[in-house]
Amino acid sequence: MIGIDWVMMILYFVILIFMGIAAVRSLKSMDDFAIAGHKVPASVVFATLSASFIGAGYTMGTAAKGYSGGIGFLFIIGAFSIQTTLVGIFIAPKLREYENAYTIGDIMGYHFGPLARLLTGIIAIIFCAGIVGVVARASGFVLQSVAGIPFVYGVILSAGIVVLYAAVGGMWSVVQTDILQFVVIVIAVPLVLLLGLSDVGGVGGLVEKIPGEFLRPFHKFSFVAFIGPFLGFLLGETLVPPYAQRAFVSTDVKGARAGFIASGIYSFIWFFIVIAIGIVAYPLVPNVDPDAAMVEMVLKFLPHGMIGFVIASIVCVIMSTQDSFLNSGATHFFRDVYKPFFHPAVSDRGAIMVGRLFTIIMGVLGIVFAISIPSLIDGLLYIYALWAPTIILPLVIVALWKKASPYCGVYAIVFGGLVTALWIWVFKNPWGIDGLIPGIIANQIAFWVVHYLTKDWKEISRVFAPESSS
Amino acid sequence: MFTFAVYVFPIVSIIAGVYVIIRGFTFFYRTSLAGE
Repeated sequence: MIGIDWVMMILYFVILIFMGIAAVRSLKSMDDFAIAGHKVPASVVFATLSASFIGAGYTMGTAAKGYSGGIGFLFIIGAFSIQTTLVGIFIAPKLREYENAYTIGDIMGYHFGPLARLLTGIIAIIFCAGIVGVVARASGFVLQSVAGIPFVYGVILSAGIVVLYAAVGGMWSVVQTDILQFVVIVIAVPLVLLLGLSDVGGVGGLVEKIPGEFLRPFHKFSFVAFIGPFLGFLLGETLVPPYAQRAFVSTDVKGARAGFIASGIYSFIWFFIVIAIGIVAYPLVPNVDPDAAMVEMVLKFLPHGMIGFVIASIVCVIMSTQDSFLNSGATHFFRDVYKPFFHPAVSDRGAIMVGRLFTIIMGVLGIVFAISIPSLIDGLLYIYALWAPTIILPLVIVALWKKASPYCGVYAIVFGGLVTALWIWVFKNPWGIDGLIPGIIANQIAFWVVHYLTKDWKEISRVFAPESSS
Repeated sequence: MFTFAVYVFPIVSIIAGVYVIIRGFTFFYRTSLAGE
């Protein structure tokens, strides 16, 4: 990087902070802090949802898979695209129909009572803190490798900027900054691919310079090796807190549906582009750390000036995942823990203060995680394990079918979580089967057994009583 | 298939970016700057 790159990088950060701070004008209540007042149109739902899932794992981590193994990973990670599109068709519109919902905890409490709300909130907060840590690590890594900033300082710098605007403007700042981050990354990164492809001599030249199996999708995967990660991407990130929040921010049901479907389709295009960059990088920047292949391509093929802008945008897209999870964690804390159990009559002003304070706390926790989780993709998969086997299916079932017994939710969460934890941490994934699978099976057995045992009960204990009935 | 996608997908992505420039920054102007 030369002087003009540094100027462009600083310019990018200044514009980003300006957009984040400017958004504070729209912040008047907790509705604004958590769900941008239900005012976000479909095109912006598409951009903000995409900017949220395009983080370190889905840029550098995915390019690394292309660099080290070719196109095959596309057919695993493509499960995420299928999932997001299906959520857009079937689930996101249903979530948006809950007019007063800010979080998944709101929906779980509405159907399964306060204990289900609390459990959902706690799991969501842990999940969010974990992801904030993973992406903090990634931005520290990029700033270290490109700008020479020591890792710990890079983590603190990037997390500091995010915490600043996420705490000040809440969801409004998150959405507005996501627009900038999405636009820059989805224009600049494809340019890197086209320039790299041209340099390597087009597809014909590329094929001559890469191992033959790089373009054969299933050359290295047995069924068992394929199905575990495929299910991980299919279910692991389904409706994680900030993605579900994108359904709530939408102006209406149609906007939620259109935004999610567009994002699901686009995600496949994005995955292809970054994996292809990894493949093209194989002959052009040989013998580098696979995680650094994408950054090396940016440095090699973009003109000076644009390099600084794009490196900043890569850091910021990583940060845009971080701001989404920060805001989501804070919103879950407020809605699922603080307000129902500590201060039900909290004022709007008090609510925003609590949201801001918890955003800052989450940022600090994230930095601690950043120093303790070793690998980007593996870190994501590790945290997936906690979410899918507990919350997803009970949520999807009640979103589509309102007749489940109120007792189902808590038992499904507890059994799903216990079996997953035992499978992974006590039995160490026997037969190579991911903990997600037995966890989901246990979750569903508990759900349906409890449903059939309790569906006719008239008296409902207070902790299980649906909030819809009060 | 790879040959088709490796040229078409980047162009689709750039078009998506341009679309969001128009719609997204209009939204930003309307809500954050004009204060509607």
